[in-house]
Amino acid sequence: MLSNISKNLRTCTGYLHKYCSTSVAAIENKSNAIEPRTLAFPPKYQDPRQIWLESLDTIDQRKLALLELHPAVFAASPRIDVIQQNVRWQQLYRYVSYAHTKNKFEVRGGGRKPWPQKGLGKARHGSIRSPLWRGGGVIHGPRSPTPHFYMLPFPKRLIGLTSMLSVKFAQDDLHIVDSLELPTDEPGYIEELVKSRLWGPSVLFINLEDIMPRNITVATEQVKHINLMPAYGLNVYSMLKHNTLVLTRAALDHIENKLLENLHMNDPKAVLAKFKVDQC
Amino acid sequence: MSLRCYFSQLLRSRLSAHSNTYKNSVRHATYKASPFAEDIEPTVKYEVSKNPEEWKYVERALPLTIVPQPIRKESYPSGWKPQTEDVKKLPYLVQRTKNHMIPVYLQISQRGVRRHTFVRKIQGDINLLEQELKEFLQKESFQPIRSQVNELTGIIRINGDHVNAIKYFLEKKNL
Repeated sequence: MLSNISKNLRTCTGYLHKYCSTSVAAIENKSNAIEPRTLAFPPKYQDPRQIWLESLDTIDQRKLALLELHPAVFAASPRIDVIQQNVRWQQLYRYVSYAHTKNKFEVRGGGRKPWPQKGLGKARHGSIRSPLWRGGGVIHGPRSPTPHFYMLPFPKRLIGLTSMLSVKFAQDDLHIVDSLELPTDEPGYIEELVKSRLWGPSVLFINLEDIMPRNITVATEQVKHINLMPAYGLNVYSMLKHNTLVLTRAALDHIENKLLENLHMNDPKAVLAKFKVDQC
Repeated sequence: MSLRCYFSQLLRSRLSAHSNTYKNSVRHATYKASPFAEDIEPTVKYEVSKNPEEWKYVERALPLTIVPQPIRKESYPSGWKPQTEDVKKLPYLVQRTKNHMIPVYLQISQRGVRRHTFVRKIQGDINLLEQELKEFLQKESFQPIRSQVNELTGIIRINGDHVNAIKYFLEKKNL
């Protein structure tokens, strides 16, 4: 196990000296207990990407180990067009337009013929609420409620997630931590940590389960730009909305395996079928 | 038994006394006429087993959720060939689809007039592959081969129907 890590470290020493203040030897001693990742569906052509495993124990960044990421998920081609489609879908599927206009029959009055059909030299009219009249009904106006619900095709949702994760990784906005345990429940601690590690104002923490550790829940409750989310809630819009994405290692394993399984799905008939409103 | 069920059974028995044709035609056409849902006890005798050896046979019968890896053989009856294992050294790779097929497709549009061949899932030096494909296809063509490279999506589009030629070219390279 250790030999595996040290082999990885030796290959990337060139990078390390550039970016990290901690010496490699110190990391090797510390990383005794940390297991390297084994990638499902091992990549054939692209090299696995590498990322530091960090901890939220201290305010200063402490590098615990070097982890490998699957290139199909974290080094996919950044399809910003598909990302845009995902964001549009997420905004629209829950949007209901309440704009409303009244048609000729709904506007009050107008039941009587205003003047006789013939003999006055005036234009013929049957109702004072006709759309030709001032104060009359509206033709083809917006009718409330108008749902804008639609489903984006499953492969596009999948490409959206892999593209967004790849973009976050490529822009150095993805961080992996061992757990979301904090030493204190003071909001100042997590804010100071985010500031000192240059994690950008807004941070999205992803945990595997939806029951989060107590300290981080209490600390971030009043801080509106630091948010917590379970792994099943991961979505393109939230990732794009936050500057930095922080995954726990368990969440990383879950998300990567889930995406890879879906990329190698045997019979996609069920997910490609037309969406029915009453489907569960 | 509820009152409703009792009445419906009474009615049914009366009707069956009149004629045998009503006997088998219970329609449950309305909600009120339909019987109450009851737990149906299985009539077949069974026993619960938690033996992992037996569970293997159940697993074998379950549908696969993930496309399996092909078993390596010398040759296959269908003529399909697997991709070579050592792809790391190649300057480019046309990655197989999840079903282990070569991703070369024909798109027919303009009511059958326009035929475009798409090579998808290209990784590495896409321009080199385009050059090699052009050289390969040019031998059989009178006109210059027109093509377009999309580096972001890893797709080469070539004018004309060259699907089988490109598949032959890639298979010869063990891709």
